[in-house]
Amino acid sequence: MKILAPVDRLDEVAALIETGADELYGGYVPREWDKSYRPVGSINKRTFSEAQFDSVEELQSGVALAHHMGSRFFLTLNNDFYSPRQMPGALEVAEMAEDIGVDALIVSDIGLILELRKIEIETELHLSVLAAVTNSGAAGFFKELGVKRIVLDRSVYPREAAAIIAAEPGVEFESFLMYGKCPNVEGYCSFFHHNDPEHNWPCGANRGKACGLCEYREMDAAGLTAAKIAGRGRKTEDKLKAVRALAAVRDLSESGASDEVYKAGAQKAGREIAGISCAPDACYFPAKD
Amino acid sequence: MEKAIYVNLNRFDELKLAGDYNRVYFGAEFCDKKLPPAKIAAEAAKITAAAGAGLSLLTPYISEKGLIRIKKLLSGLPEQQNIEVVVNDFGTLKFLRDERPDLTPVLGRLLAKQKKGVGISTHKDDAPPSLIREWRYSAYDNELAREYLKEYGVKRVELDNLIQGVASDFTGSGLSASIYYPYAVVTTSVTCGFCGTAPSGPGCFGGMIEDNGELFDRTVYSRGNARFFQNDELPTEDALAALGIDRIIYQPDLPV
Repeated sequence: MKILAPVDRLDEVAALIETGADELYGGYVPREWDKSYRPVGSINKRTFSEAQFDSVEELQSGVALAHHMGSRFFLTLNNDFYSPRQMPGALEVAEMAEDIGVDALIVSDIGLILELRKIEIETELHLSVLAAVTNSGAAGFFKELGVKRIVLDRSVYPREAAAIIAAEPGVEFESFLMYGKCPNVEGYCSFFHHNDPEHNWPCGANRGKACGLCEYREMDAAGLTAAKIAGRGRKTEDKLKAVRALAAVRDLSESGASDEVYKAGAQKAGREIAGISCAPDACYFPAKD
Repeated sequence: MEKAIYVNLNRFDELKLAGDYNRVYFGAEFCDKKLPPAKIAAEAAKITAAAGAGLSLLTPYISEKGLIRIKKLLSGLPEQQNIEVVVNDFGTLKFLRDERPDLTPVLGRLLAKQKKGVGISTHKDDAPPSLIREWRYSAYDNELAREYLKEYGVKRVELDNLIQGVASDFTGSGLSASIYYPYAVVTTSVTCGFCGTAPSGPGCFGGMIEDNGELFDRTVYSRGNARFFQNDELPTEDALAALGIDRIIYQPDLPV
């Protein structure tokens, strides 16, 4: 399974890939958009400037460096919707992304997906967690719309992921496994997050330190293409810790360790590498009643 | 203007109120574990039809396990005119297109993706008027999205009554729109504090919790696995009609 990490600046690219990230995703807000709608009206859900590349030039350099190092780079364009006045701006960013070689656009809005099809964008479309895919029927709906990869909602456990993946061949799937475990269904949640990274969790500060390392192996067996790390806008050190922890459990899983040894190792990686102790509100997949 | 009434699942006997309204909204909007069996839904359709009203069966977002449950429910619905299925999951919409094209799908408010967060006014220093203006729209103000929905047989889109106002205009689109009053959904979770308690007990179907968080500009009410705010300021019927909104759904109680 690939490791997909968030990236916010050119100077993070090499370190993330060298640490074990196979794919990167980031954001960029055009100056005009930012001027009209301010950070809180971001073009890609993240409402603070620390979560965005500063310029097209920096983004282009980041994409080129990722490619040079054998990695892929995805750009978020995943607002719940773009109003009629906003849509042209979103399409301009998509065209710019294609021009500079971005490998996939992470999208959520059906209107945007259809508009991108209309202008014959060839860049892969990955469906954001904001689309709230929780079952194989919904996955089939979006497959018909032409998305190449679907990010499953955080509520989807490995066994359910396996059923969804089996039911919808021909499309890739990924799941969040580190940080940012929103307790709500993110695609149906409209709480306004504060535009300050230190106050971005009105639903509980500990949620930002969530971990699903124990389930990496089962998600891999379920057929997931990528394990995703949340955290655009977080400190570089945090991003690297998450990549390091996921890389460690990937090695452990592939080593043929028993499930018991694997689980103990995954918990240890969470604790010692990512600094996350097991707790119900920090666990991506707590035991169900 | 069509008038509809929302009847909570545990108040089946209130379906008799149907006579005063054009339609009754009945079902489970947020939790697939609460979906009624087909037999109950069919009985609800029978009662409302006898009262001269239509039934709008509310369905929630669906887990993979819940997919089996909802397919069973929808397959078991009678072939009867005047039954709508309010879908809040694209998997349900796809199932209706593929397996029950005789039923009328309505796009539920969760899928409209409106900006509803309580906190608009706490953001007033950050959010310029040019942004608030865009937050009055929904995901279905895009022409291509509207046409795509119509390919799935959708004829109606449902909206919440936003604090910042609604600007979505469905006139001339071939789609109608509804608006819920007075409760708007803020969020929903599968991590439900009430799950595992008695299904008809306080918190799940009844009761509610009030939350006045520091970032909130109005009270948030919780029931079951969803949270709401109340907006008593409904635009006039003329103003709604000018946007193509031709149905008001009255919620006398917090939905489930």
